[in-house]
Amino acid sequence: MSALLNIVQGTPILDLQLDGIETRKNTRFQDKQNGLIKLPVYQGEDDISGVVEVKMNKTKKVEHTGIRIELIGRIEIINDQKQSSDFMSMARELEPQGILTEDKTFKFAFTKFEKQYESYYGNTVRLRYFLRVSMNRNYGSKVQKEVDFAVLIPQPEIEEGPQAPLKLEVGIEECLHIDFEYFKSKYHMRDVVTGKVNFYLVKIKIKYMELAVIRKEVIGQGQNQQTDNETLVKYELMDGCPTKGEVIPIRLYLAGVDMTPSQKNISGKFSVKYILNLILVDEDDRRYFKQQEISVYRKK
Amino acid sequence: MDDDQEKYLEDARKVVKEQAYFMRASLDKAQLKDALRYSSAMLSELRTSLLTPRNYYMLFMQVFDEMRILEGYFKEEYRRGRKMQDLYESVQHATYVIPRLYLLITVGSVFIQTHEIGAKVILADLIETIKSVQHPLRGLFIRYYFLKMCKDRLPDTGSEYEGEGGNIDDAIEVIIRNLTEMNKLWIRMQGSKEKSRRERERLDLKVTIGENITRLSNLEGVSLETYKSKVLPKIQEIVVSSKDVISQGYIIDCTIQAFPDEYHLNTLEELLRMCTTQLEPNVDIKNIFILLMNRLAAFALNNDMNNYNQEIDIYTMFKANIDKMLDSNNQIEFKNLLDLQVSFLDFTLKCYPNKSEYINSILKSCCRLCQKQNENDFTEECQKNIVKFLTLPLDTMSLSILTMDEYPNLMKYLPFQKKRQVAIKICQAVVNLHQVIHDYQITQELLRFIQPLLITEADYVDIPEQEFEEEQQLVARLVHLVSHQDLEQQNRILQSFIARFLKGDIQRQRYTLPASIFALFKLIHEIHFNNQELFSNQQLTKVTLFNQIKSLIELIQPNHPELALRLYLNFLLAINEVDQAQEFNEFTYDIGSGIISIFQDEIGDSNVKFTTIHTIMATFSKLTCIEAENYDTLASNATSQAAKLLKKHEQATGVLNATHMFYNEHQKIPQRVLECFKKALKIASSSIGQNPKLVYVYICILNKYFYFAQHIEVKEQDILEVVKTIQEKLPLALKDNDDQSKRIKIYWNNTVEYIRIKKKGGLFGFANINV
Repeated sequence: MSALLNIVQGTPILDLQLDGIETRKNTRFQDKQNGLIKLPVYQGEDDISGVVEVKMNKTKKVEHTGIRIELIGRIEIINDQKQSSDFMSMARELEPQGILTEDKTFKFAFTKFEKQYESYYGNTVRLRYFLRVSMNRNYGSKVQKEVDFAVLIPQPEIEEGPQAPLKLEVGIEECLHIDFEYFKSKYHMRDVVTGKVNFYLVKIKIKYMELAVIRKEVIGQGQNQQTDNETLVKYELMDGCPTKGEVIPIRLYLAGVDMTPSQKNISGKFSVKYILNLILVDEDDRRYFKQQEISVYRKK
Repeated sequence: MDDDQEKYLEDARKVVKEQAYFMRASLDKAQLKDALRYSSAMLSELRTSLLTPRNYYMLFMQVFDEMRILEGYFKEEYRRGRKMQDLYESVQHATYVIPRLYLLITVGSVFIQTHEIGAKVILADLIETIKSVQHPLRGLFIRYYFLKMCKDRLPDTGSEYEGEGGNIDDAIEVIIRNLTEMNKLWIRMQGSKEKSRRERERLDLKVTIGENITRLSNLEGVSLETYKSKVLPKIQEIVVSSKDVISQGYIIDCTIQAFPDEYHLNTLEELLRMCTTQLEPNVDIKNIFILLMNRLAAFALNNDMNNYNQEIDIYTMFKANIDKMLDSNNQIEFKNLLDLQVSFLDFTLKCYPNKSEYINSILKSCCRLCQKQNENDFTEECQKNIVKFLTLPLDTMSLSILTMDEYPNLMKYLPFQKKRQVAIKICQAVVNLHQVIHDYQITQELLRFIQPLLITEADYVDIPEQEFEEEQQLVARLVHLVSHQDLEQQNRILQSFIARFLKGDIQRQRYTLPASIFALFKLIHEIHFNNQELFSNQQLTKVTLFNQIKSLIELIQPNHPELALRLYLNFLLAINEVDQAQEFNEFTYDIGSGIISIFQDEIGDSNVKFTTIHTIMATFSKLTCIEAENYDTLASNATSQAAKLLKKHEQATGVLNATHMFYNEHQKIPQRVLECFKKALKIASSSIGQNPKLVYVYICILNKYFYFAQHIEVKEQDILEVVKTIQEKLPLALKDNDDQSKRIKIYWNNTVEYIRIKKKGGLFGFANINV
């Protein structure tokens, strides 16, 4: 009955305006369900503040048991909502229980809130930050509004830290013997992967060599662990078959690839790894490959 | 297979055309991103493995043209403010190597032009990146594209890219690196299967490799010094380390062609040493040497080699290296070595025309080479080369070559026909150079070498008549070149020719003896007028020479009476010139009688007879070397021979012309002249009845009367008589209106005109002539 009344009378509307949104930097994510989304970015010691507006929306009066705003950091397992969990949650009471008879605005602020993890929107998992304002009522359904935002975490400690090349010697006995080297093991998201491949012995007829960037999402732990691999790019490094002694350069611009920073065991829920896969394909389309993990960080 | 090829090519071209169309359309709309996408699709056609090198080249050129458009657009974009750095990076996002690199090179070339970044940086980056293409064919072409695109963007000395963009060393470095890589790819094409097809395909692609050398040679900064210290050593390194026959040969070849002669001259030693000691055994060193020598020889012709010779002894360098090849290497074919020797000889002749010891030394090497061969190694081609070898020096060294010890040794390796060829070449050389033959020793050698033309020996081979005639005439011309200040020497040389000619048969003598006879005439003339003293020498007297000439003509007479007759007539004139004293009266008379008897007995053809008798009479009329009585006999005999000619008009004109034997600057016997007139008239009148055209003879007689009337007394009555006869018979003679009649008419009209003029002058004998 009351529901019916509500329909007739309308439901109050909650609106949330973030301060300084016009000037705040935005970032984009490719969300599995919602497609391309654009979110304001909060970093470092940024506060997040704004205004909540309650609009009566043709109702004469609203009886509520309290209006509150929460800042939530949540890890969602896309195909299994049950496994989702909040790693942070903060709340502010905007209005104690009472009756509203006209539109009203409330200011709110979470100063220097903790930014522990970086936002991430992947194939099987997402890590999102959002503000939720809600008005609970005894009668009538709960009214709430969520606004997503993004947290990005530059990693100057990696940027400035030591770099070691990734080197590996591989081969098949009497058939192929190469070593390859990526000059760095840590890359920022718009970095260039450079390196070289030395061919010491080539007895197979190589048709081409390519470099793939794979993103590996690992969710769950132990026996329940699941992995999702996505090849983000395949990049031909070499056309034709070299002879022994040839050195082929590697150069891949990550700017053209949809990169995020690597994530390691975030809240015990998930990891995101980046793998460089060097693949040799012979004339019979047999593939010889070697994968190497690299670490990707966000530049300041 | 070929059908497929056509289809593959056609398909690929179609795609290129299509994508190029879209690319241009996008450029027109200033949609760079789309344009890049379409150009990438177009360039992807070059990823094919289906096409043969030739067809791939066709496709490449089509794409190349389109890429020029894109390049132009990039330049515009830059002017409009686009950052080339960004473009340079963004084209590298392309997934596939081939389109990525073609685009990168294109952007890179524009990037260099902006001067925002040093040319050498971009070039080094490009050259490094291109290593990604390891497929031989595609690799060669992308590097060829690189060469084309960076052609004018190298930090060459004096170029706008020098300085910040690097210097000549960087420019050389880039190209050398490219050459090194291209050479490796090119060699890799060889593979192991289908050797000949692969080789063919490789040769189809050689220009792409050669382009590197061309670039190097076009660099302003590559001075002689730079070439010597930086370019050649690198090229040498590439060549030597490649160990590939085709590549070694081609790159050296290119290098020789591309750089100036002067550079080669100054690096000759290195170059030659590399060729003889560092190349694979199958490399055609011969061709390389030949090329080098031809270049240097041409250079020598245009420059004063003395400036160079002092510092660089080219001959010795070549000689040492060639000899090394001759002696050491058994793998090089004999014919190739001969070829090489010929070129070397040619080179030496051009560069060192005065060094006969050089020539002899080369001849020696060649002999040594020939000695080592088996008989059946001397193929047609080899023989040709030996002929060349023997004849080449003739043009510059002429006969002195004949005195070289090794010359005959080489000749012996030739069969008859080739020997004859050499002989002809020798003769031609002497004749064409108008070389005076004045050395007895050389003459002996010469005669030895041209023996095949002089005597029929066991290995003789018949040749067509015309060739034979030409050849013998050539020999005959040699005789005329004999000359010596000392006439005794001249005679000696001449006699050695004659002695050799006498061993040849009459077929040859027909050509050689007349020449010898005339040479003897000349000698007699010179003895008589220049050097009376010689007569003290018993060996060289007129008698001997006269007798010799007579006997020579007698040799010819049986087979060629007409020729003999004419030689006798010339002989008469020759004697007449030197014997005013009539010392040889009887001898001369005998000759004259001999002429008459040959005429009478051995000349059958009536036409020949008619012309010959006139020659005889004309010759006789000149003679003063004979006493009157004998002369009269000869003249009378000639006259009676004239009267015996076949046709009446011939008889009449013959006799009429005999008049000149009796009245001329030496003889003045009017009586005999008139007798001739009488006789001529008699012959004419006896036949004019049957043949009115004999009126022609009458006109002749009339004119002859006019001539003699100036010198001797001619009866006017006789003249009038002749005129009367002419006027009577003329209408009849002209009736036919044929050629003969026309001639008569013209002659008569001219005569009438003459008479008119003379009448006006009131000269004797004309007054009463009415025409």
